[in-house]
Amino acid sequence: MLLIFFAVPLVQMIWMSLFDWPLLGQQTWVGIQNYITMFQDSSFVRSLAFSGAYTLVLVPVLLVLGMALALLVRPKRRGVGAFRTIFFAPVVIGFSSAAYIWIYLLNPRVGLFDELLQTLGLTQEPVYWFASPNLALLSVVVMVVWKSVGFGMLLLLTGLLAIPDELTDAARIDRAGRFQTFRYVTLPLLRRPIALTLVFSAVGSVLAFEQFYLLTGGGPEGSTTTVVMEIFRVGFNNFQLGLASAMSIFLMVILVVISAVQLVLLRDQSSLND
Amino acid sequence: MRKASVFRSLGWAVTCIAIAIAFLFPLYAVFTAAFKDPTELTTTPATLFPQSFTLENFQLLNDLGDGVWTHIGNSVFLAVFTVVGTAVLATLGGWGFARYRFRGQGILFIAMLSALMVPFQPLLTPLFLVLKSLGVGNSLVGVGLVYVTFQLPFALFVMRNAFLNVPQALEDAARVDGATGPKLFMNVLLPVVRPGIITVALFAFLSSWNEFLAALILLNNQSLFPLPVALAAGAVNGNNGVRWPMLEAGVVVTMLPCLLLFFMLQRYYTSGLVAGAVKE
Repeated sequence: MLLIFFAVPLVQMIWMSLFDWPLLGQQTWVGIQNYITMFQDSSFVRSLAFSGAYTLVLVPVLLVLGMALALLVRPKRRGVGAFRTIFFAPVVIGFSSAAYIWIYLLNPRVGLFDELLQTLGLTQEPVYWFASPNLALLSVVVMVVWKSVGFGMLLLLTGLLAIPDELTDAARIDRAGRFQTFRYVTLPLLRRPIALTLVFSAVGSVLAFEQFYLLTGGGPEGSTTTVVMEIFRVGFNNFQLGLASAMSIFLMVILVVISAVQLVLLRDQSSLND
Repeated sequence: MRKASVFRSLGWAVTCIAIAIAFLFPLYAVFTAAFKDPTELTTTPATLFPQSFTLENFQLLNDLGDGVWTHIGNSVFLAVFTVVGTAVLATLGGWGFARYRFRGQGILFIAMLSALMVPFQPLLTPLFLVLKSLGVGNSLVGVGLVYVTFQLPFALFVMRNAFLNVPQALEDAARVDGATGPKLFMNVLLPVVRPGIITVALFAFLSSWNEFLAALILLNNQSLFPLPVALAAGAVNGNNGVRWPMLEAGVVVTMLPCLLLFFMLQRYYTSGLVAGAVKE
């Protein structure tokens, strides 16, 4: 089954990427022409740059906030379980539901967010969140942090809970300050969960689709079109399946590189442990 | 000393509660919006505390696409297909990987795990054609097969670990008592690996229920759309702009099962994540 739905499509995709392949009609061999066309296509290059920028903004934010939340809910205090659950809950609702919630929330006419900002006196007028590229990107980043930060939190929390108290206590006895203990004892032991959090959020951001398709529609003026949106516009609106395949392969190479970086990071760690 | 720690606890609690309110606010907004009457919902300024309570918005859902029940039905079909398919295949496969040694087993398992690293999104273009040539293009079964396939690596991984944790002694004891083959599997092993199966089923449910892109690309008929896609087509990108009352009710219907299942089965979700993350 994995063969039919994974290996066969993979081979077919590589094959298709070498053709001018319309949905209906004649396929013509074009060699590597699609790979050349792809980089001359300004909207594809632009979507690559946008997805790249989005990933570079989002990944550190998710890691730092995920870590902050994990540290916050690590102590075994009363009610900590409830907070863990609340911070994690948005992860399970799916990107489309999250996007629907935020379209409503951020809508200047019917949404609660602007109303809240005005009540608090932070703004005087409704803000049109999706009218400028920067605000649109900011809105999506805030939405995705709300939706996904719990995932990193849980991974990092699992790592934190696996560190025996004796280690941090020992550091304290050696007069390491709070920050020093965190920097030299806790962080090195968290390499694995940190690497995983980075990879999950990086892969997720590179593949971003729903959050932009539904929230910004790629606009204003195509400024927030992601790679995945662009590939499917080329493939299933323009029916240039060969070109879309070439783009997909390029995307896949990026994803494999990200995963490979993860493997290297993890291997480093295991050799340290030996 | 003691006073300082009281203050610290208080500070901690206040911080957590503040963040929790921020996290719950969007959910609060959408749940209250779903029960406001359509006029209140579409009037500016929005009301922080609802002034009305009605089920009207949920009745409006009947106008969504081919009627909300069609789309709920599609979503349920996909979820059941994915959950059952994944659970059955992963349980049998996990048992095979855990108990029997065969040539190339290591390589096969690694090959499978590496498929974990490549998400299905880039493969959708050729998958579209593969499904078509198998005669399941533009059908729920086709989409379900795709979901099962890409859920399988993780599921097999979880189930293999579950079977590896079954003590050999238990299996031997059952054999001595005369249990063999299918009987051994059904009556002795299955109850022991049940937590693993629940984990796998939960992940399969959440991923199929929430999946958007593959369903959008692989299905062409409105009557086949699962709930999230139907909402995009009918309530967000429709001709008359966003239909807020319908959308709010639709979102509540879409996410409620996910939240309920998560609250009920939380520990299985966490254990699955830990299994996938820490041991992978």
